[in-house]
Amino acid sequence: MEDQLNKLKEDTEQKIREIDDLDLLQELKVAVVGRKGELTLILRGLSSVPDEDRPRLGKMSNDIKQHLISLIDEKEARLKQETLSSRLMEERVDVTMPGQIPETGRIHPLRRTLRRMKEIFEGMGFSVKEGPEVETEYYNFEALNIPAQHASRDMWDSFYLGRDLLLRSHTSPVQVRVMEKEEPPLRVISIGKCFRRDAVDASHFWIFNQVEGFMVDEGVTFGDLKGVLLNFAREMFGKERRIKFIPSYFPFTEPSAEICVDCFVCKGKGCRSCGGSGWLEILGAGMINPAVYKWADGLREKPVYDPEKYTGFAFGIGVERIAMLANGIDDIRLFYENDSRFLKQF
Amino acid sequence: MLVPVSWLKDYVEFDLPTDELAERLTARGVMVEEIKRPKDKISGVVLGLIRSMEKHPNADRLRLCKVEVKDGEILDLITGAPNVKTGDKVPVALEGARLAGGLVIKKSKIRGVESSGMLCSAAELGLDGKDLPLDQREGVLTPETDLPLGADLVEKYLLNDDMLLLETFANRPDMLSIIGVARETASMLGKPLKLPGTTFPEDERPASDYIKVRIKDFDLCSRYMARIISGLKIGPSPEWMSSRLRLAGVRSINNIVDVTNYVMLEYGQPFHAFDYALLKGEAINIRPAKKGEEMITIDESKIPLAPEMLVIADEEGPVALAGVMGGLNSEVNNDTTKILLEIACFQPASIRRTSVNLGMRSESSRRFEKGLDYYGLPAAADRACSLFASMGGRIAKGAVDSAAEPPKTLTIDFRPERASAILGITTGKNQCINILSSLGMKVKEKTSKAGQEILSVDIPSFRPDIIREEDLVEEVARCIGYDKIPTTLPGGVTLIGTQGEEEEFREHIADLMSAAGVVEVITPSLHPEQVFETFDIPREGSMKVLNPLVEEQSYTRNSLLPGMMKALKSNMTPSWGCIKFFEISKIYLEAEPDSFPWEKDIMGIIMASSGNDVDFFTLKGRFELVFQELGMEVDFEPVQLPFFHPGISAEVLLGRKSLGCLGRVHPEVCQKVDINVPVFFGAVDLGHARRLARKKYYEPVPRFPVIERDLAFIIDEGVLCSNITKEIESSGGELLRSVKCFDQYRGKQIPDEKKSLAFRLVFSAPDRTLTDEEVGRSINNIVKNLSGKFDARLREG
Repeated sequence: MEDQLNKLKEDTEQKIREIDDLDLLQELKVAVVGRKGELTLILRGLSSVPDEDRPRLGKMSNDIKQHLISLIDEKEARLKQETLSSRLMEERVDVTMPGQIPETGRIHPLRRTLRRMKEIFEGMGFSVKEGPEVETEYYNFEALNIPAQHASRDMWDSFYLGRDLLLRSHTSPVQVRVMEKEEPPLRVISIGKCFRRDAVDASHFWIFNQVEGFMVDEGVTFGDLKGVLLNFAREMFGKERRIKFIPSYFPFTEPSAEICVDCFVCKGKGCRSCGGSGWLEILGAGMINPAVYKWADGLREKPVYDPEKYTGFAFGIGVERIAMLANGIDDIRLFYENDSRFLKQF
Repeated sequence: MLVPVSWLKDYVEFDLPTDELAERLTARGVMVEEIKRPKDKISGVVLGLIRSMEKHPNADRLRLCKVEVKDGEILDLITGAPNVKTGDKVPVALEGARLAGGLVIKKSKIRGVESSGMLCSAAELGLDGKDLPLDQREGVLTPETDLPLGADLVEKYLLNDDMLLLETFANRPDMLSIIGVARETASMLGKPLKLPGTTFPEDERPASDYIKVRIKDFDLCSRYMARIISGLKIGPSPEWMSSRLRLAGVRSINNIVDVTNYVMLEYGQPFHAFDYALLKGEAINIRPAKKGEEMITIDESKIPLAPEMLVIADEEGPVALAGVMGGLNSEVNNDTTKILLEIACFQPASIRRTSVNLGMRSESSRRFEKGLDYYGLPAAADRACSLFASMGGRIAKGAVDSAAEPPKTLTIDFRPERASAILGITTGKNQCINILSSLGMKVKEKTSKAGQEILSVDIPSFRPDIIREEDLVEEVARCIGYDKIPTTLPGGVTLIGTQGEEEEFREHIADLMSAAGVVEVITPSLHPEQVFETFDIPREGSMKVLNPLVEEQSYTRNSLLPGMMKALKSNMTPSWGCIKFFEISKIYLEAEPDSFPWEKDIMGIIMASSGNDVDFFTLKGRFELVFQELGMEVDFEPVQLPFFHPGISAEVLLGRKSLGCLGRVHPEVCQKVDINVPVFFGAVDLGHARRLARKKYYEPVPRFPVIERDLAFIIDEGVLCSNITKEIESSGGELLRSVKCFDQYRGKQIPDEKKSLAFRLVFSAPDRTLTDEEVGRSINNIVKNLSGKFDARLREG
């Protein structure tokens, strides 16, 4: 019996060494140490051995059983590890192959620019107000101190629709529309499409978007206008930007100014983007002309906009111009040609 | 306006580099757009005289010229210009000369013959040449000049100067005169302004002996001065005058016309010279044109006149279109010896209307439009007379001066404190006095009852732009310099910036569309007329544009379809693939004639593919996404619209309210715009949708398991999916949480004229796990109802 046990031990050890399959190992385990396994069979003969040998043989068979089980477990663990490794190796991919970029849509670059501009002005307390794109001559011109047949009307060559209607040539009419209804303090921007009879070239299109902003309150100064626009320029184009105010003329502001930002392409040294001047024209602005307050009060019994009490400023920014400068776009027509190869870049 | 710096120096002394002058003028509101420095670019050009010409032996178009460039020195030059002939004076670029555009002249052989220089065109000399006679615009310049042969044309004739190109504002007529610019320069530099001398001898016989002036309507012409000058002899102007005109971009014509142009540039006051001998009758009338009258202008175009046009007329009829252009019948000509010189002040609006309507905008009309100085007429007239006198003209005594009541001159109270309050910088009283005085204003100090400092400012008549205190504030601000005003931020009430519901809604939808794989476009808001026919969309509501520049701008759009189709088409390049575009824009509808038009915020989506990956349901899903996002349970019902495929088009309804429509664009429409794949388009009224949208509230997530059941029904072909869905919803009881059709089937096992629709039903209860029995009861009820209403049969297995 002792020999039987030793042989079983050796044979099994041999088999364990040779097996390289988990299932076979499992079978072997059952066949040797299972309830009906070989070891059990051998131990059935224990009753026929002499009494004095029995404890020794009993211990011996138990040791062998434990020994074999631990060998099998060990082998099993190793085989499992190997199987896992080889499976992982099989699952290996070429990580340098391209990924699958999900197909998403795109927001138009002008809307993107407008969003940024809105954010900046909203941060300074300006709220968006809307007005119609088909306007009356009254709001587009008269109420902004631009009388009929005045030479300044050349600045806004408009599309006329008959009667007293036209496609608005700036978003400034919203200024009067808002002031007719609301009282100071006001911080407003109005945004949207405007239309001018401009011949089309790389920097002109007959549709364009404008952000018109204005503020009316007690004690608002030209210095405040400078501050608000400097903030805007820096948020839009970078913290180091400088701006320059040059006297200009708009019938609805007095004093009026044209505002330039130092060219961020060449840092003011002069390049093709700024035409060599080091400065980029970005917008027009000024202190609201009291004549406009008078028009805005036109329907009120008791005037609200007393220029002695309230002062205010207004500015108008071309969105396309800002989007072009911010994104290095050199042709305004691209915004309206709707070439998806252009639109998908943003 | 082009201002030669040397001319400016006649009136104000300074010695400033042109760059600095330009920068400082710009900073105070005299905007210098560009400094022109032709002499820096051009050199080595002298005056020559063509002594003889012959054909080039080896080229038909070329000619050999012997050109004298100095006493007796003859150069052999070759030219291709057809406009020159023997005896012409010409600009000769000598060897080594530099011309505009960087061209450097070398001796060279042209087709075997040596040419030792070049005859120059206006463009090669840096002139724009638009005033030149036609033959000289393209060919060689042939200057009329008394300069000696060999004279350095760059120094003597052309451009020995820097020129400031000014952008003038509509409210500053005085900036259209050299003296006006000089006044600003003098104020800026703290120097006095020196005005030109205007003395001249007068004849004894007064001008009123020669002519009478009658103004019909002083509103249209507030002042008309006529001076009579005789003893003139037409000829070239003195060199100093013609070269100055050239510098300022005005072509020298003859001595009489040149004087009028010269003084116009100098004083900003336009003139017109009539040949006195050609005027009929004893008086000239300034009156509106009569119906049916016509006139031939000096540029030989025949103008039909209308009563809203102001004319100058003699006894027989119009001799000039006031302020716009003279008539051919009274034009100064080679025989002219006596002229009537017109110095007038016309109503800006009238001149503007006439010149804009006729498309005749001249240097004169530009000035009249901006409003001229009633009080400035005599000085300008005297200046012109003194120049005529210096050319031998005899000036009749005095002017015939017909004028309305002189306009009131303005005196404005100006408070330095007010300027400080508006500008945000302390402006001292004395500083303000100095600034305003230097601009030609008379300033008196006074004190208000409340003890406030007040300056009483007389506004000079040449500054019609200054009508209120704020205008003076601007004068002070720009003279101090905008850069000196400190940069501050507004104080006062803190306001919260919001973008408003409408704008927020649009942004939300745009984001949703972008996330759903759709690319945003912006298409033009105006249409060409032919879209109504091409796209079979009604004209109703579309407004005609009265003054389009191009056909594409003829009508306001009442649909996004045509513009988006065009955008789609333009992207159908050879390898285009799949296109999905959306746009959120306004359309305009004139609901009723004479009412204020409606504007609607519309979202349009258009899709097409060169493959098979787009169909009606690809499009519909995008709209469903929007309405799902808005918590709106909308219905899609079949609809017939002319521009849609009759079997693939639906209207979006919320209850009975229509929100828009979508469908496959009619193949015939596609064919007309040369698209041969199916195109899917839809549009909804976003404004409407926003107002009907439901605010979202939290709904508890089911805590007990849901039970799903798939049921298929065999129904008549004509029954719509939505009919069945609604019936299931209404008969399913409160445990039925959702129904969705997920398959349709025709074919084997399904009788003809029938179809099978499969639905997934989801059941759950908020407080318990449902039993099969409960769900079974609900399904039985559904089956019974469908069978009763639609003869629907549950498809087994």
